Amino acid sequence: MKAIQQTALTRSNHLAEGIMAAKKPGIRGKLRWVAWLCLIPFAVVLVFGIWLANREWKASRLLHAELTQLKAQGQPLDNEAWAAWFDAHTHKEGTDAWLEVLSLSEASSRIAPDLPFVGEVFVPIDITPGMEWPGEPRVAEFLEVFDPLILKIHEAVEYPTPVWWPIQWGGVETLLPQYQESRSVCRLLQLKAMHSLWKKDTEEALKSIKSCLATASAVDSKTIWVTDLVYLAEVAIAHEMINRSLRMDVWNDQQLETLSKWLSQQREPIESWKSCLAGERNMALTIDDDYTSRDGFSGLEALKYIPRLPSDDLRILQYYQSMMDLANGGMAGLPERCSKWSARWEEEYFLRSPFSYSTILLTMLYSSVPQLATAYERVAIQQQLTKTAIAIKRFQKANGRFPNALNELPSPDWPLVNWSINKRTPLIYEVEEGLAKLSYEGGPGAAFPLTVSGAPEHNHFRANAFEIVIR
Amino acid sequence: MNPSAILENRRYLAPPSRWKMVWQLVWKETRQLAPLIAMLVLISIGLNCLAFMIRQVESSGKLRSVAFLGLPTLFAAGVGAMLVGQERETRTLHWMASLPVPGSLQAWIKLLIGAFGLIAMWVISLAIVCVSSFTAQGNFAVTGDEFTYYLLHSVFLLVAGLACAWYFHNTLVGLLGLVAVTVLITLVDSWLADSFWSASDGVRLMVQLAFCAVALVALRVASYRAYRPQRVVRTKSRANETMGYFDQSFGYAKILTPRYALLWQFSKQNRWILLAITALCAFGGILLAYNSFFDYGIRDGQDTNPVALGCFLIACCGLGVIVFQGDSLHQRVRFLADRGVSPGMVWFSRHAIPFSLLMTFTIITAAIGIYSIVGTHDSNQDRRVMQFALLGVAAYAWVIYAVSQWASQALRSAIVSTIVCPIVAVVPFAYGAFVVSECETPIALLLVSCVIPFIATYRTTQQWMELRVSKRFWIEHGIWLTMAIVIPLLPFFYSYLTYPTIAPAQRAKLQADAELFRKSYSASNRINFWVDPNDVSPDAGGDMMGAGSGMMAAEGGGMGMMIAGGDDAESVADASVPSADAKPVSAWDPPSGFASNVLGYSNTTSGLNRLPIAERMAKRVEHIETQMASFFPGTSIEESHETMQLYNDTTLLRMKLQGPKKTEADQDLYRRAMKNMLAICKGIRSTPSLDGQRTADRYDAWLFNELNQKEAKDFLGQELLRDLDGYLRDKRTRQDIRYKAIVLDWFKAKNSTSQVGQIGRFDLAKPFTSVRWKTDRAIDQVAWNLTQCLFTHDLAKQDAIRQEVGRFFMNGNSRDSIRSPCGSWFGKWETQIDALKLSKEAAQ
Repeated sequence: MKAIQQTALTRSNHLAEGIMAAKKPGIRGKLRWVAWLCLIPFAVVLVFGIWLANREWKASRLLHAELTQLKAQGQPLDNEAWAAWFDAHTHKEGTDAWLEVLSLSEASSRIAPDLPFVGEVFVPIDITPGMEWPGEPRVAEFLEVFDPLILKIHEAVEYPTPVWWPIQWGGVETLLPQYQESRSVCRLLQLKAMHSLWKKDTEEALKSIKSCLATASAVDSKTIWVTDLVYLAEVAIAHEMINRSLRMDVWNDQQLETLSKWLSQQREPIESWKSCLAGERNMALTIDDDYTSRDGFSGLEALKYIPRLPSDDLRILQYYQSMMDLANGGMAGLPERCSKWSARWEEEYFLRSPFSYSTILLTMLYSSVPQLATAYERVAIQQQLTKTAIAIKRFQKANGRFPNALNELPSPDWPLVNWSINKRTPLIYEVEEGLAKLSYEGGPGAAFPLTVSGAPEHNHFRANAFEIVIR
Repeated sequence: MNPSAILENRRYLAPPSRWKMVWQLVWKETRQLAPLIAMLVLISIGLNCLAFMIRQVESSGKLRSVAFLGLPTLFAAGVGAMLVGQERETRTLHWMASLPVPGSLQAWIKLLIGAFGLIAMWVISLAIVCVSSFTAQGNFAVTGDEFTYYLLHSVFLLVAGLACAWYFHNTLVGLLGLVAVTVLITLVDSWLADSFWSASDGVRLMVQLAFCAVALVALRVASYRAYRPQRVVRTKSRANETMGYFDQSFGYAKILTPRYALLWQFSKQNRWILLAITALCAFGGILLAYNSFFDYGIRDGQDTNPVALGCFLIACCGLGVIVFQGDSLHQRVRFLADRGVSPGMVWFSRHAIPFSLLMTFTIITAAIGIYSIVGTHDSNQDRRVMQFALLGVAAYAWVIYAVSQWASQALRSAIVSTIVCPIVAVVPFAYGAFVVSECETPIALLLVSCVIPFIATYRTTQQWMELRVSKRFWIEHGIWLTMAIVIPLLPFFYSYLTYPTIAPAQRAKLQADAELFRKSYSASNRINFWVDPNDVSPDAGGDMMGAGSGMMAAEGGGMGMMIAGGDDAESVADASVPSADAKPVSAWDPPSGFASNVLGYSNTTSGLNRLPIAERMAKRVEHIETQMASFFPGTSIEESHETMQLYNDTTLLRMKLQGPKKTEADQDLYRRAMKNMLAICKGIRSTPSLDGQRTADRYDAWLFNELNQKEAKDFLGQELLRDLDGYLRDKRTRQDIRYKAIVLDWFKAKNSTSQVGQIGRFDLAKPFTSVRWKTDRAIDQVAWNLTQCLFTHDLAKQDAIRQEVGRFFMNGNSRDSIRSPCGSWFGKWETQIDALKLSKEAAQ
């Protein structure tokens, strides 16, 4: 019996051993399921982590070198540095005088909304000296009150520029009220100039034009694009004053020469473009991780929820550097180049890392850069056209007739700009009924409705169109 | 046999009274629901407490709304599992069916108790919200329509939950089935509402009622099916099959490998739940992808589809719950404990599959988020930020999983843990929000807390396997829980103990002075100049555009009639003074159309007044003179459009007088304007607020500047010069009112709940406003430093204190103290006023 049991046990043991020997899987078989379930996701994450760490390590080294270089160049990268930089690049001598002037000029727009330029009333194109101007008594009465202020403005512009303003530096939310309000000074001067021209008081008008250009210089601190836009707007006001005056035939030779000289003394745009974008870059780098918007939740505030990596700051630097380099090709066609570059950047960087801090930040900022380029080119074109118009007027004074073609003008005045570079429309010069007309529709920008009280219905302001009539 | 004994036996043998049977059933069902009710009430109270703790960041009342709506909704969803699923788990359902109690009666009693319980939960939830409303701030974001909707929805959940519990044999699968049905119904409801009757709430409610009716029918069918005699079905037993089949199907040798066997066992015993969870994730993923690619949901400015997020939440909770509850069901874990399987291996094998599923889910979610941007070439910034936030969902999934698996080990009942986990999973987020916002805990430290649940369950797996739910088990869990709570608070404790503050005696002095000054100051003594009767907006003055811009006129400042009051709701005035009651302080009644007729202000150019500007200036001077005559002496004046306009006019007049065209009338007007300006300066100076004092400094500096002008003294006359001299040289009054302003603004800042981070309208810098207690200490330091700056005569010390104070304010630094309250103190005009010698008396 025992033997039978022993035999059965031995058989069953052999059977079990046989099965185990036959079916025992290798280590690969054991781990197959576990690997599928656990290891692959972990491996993916691990590889990604190593790649990211390597990329950021390299970026941090490059960024450190770049920032060190920028700091060595004196570029402001925080609010305190901004204050110091602004102190170093501006002049405090005229600040008090300018603050008084700004305050009172800003008040002028509030108390006279029914006047042209300072108020909201459409400015008639044809104001002929000595002829009827229905709104003139009102303007004269207003200017009588504000003449002392205009005298103060003429005094203030004698101080060195750009002027130091008491700015509270707060990164991208820095308020720049003085810059914004300086436009009211120019508008006041514009009204004064028009009234003086109507009275044929050309010396006074010349003073107003000079002060307008000097006001632009006072705010020309080349800080960021907002300050630059204010500068460009004020220069454009001065150009408009000159262009309107040429319709009146009031200037003598010497005055025309002076105007031409002032226009030639305007700043170098390429350098300004670069320093302005450098300021923008510095502002972008100034945004801290704990940014809180003054006006509630904003897109920038959302950035605090997104990690800011060294590669982001590096990309911000690279982006602005390439934008600065765009100006190396000259100001003509700059908006087109900016737009193309922005589109390319969007394709290459935005799609490559759509969630990165730098992509989101720069996408918020870059839309303003082509606009700034547009403003630069607009003012550049306007300046050249104004200079050309003055040259035509001087030619007429010298020869008793308008030139038949623009190439009759003396060389320093014409041609100063390569009009064909944009390939938009040609510059048109024509003489009709004793009036010379310069018109150009190739400027950047588009038409938009003019919503000024008293303006003809459906009137559109065409940002790309320029027209100067010379009498 | 004794007849009485026979009667006694008959009594026992007689069928029980039907009412007694019903009563016993009601009692039984109520007892079964008690743990769920207690747990949910505790959670609701906890959420309301959290809402109170994080009231600074959670001012919209959403958390309280979640607690209010979530309590009855979760109860409704859990009733089926508690009343039916639990009986299935304990195997009493069929024992009950063997008793002479009708199955339909049992089913109806369960439904009835569930309905009563639901009513009770709504009442309790409402009561909790009412109590919390006394303490919490912010709105309670539940509208009447929402309430009705959720009420009907909870009824639907109750009935559908019972139907699912009757239908499905596995409780967890039943709960997931309920989720699936609810999601489906919600989508159908939204689709119908969007497509057909978006304007009619009544029809929508009718649809909800229809859903409830359908669920009721399903409940009847499912309960009938459950109590039907079971059919005996002969199934082919795989264990009795040949070794070949066994070997082919599972691999005999593989089963001999414990690790693989445990994984196999986990996947087998939870296969339906895992499938349901995967289906739920897939469904959520499809919704998410639909949102991302087909211009739906957040692209229209809405939030991410809540149904998708709800699916993910429940799926992650489900994954966490099955980690331990899969083995808790029917005490399966005993099988492992009896065979001495390593607790560590059990822990790893229970986590491996959910962990990898979660990882896969994370990767897929991230891929969907990224591809939805890259693939659609979308350049909408807000949307991209939202999509990024969506990626955060993947990260939150891990937290939910960590908490759920902890709860599933700590709670013995699979049903209770399944119901409670979705709401418990909210707690770490609320706590995280609290510690980050109120205690400034670094996010990295929260990650440490997120790891603790895994450590806790690992450490206690052996006790859990052996069903040793002793004190030690709870103490160990308690210790880990305490660590998870305390670790994020460590930086707070350190900084609270070491953060600088002022001495208690100094604070007591400020407090005592504040109490004294509050009694003597009333906000109704402040006035504004108003000139437009059509514009009574009490937003006078307005901030200057850009600090330190001199006499920069600013936009804003209403023009209306002269009114008193106008201080904000948290006035420093006594509560007895009705500061909100703005009334005219004089009988002065401006003529109709004054703004357009006299001053020439108008919003449109069509109605412009043609009055000459010089005449308008004269009218303005006259107008202010009239108002000033009606003021009580010492009345505070707030800077307004009118005051700014007056000093502009006065400056222009003086400039004109300095020119060749001056007239006697102009000189007289200038003198009157300066007299008005002096009164205004006095009025502004008497405002006991730091902001008012700063404004007064600007106005006084302007006065000083005017008096410094060439020939100004000749224009003004001796009497006015004497008044001006007296006012400007009165340093003592100026210092007293400044001190009063410091103390009152300190008091206001300390007790304000709406203007946190400010002292007297001056914004503190960010590091000092991150949390309330830091703000309070910074306010203490600022106030004390200001008092020191005010009364010290040492100029160097004054400068040092000014710089120290500047450090506390927005972008304040040593170079730039523009936004500091004392930035304008002791300016040039204040130090040179003695040298001016305005009047003859002063000259002598």
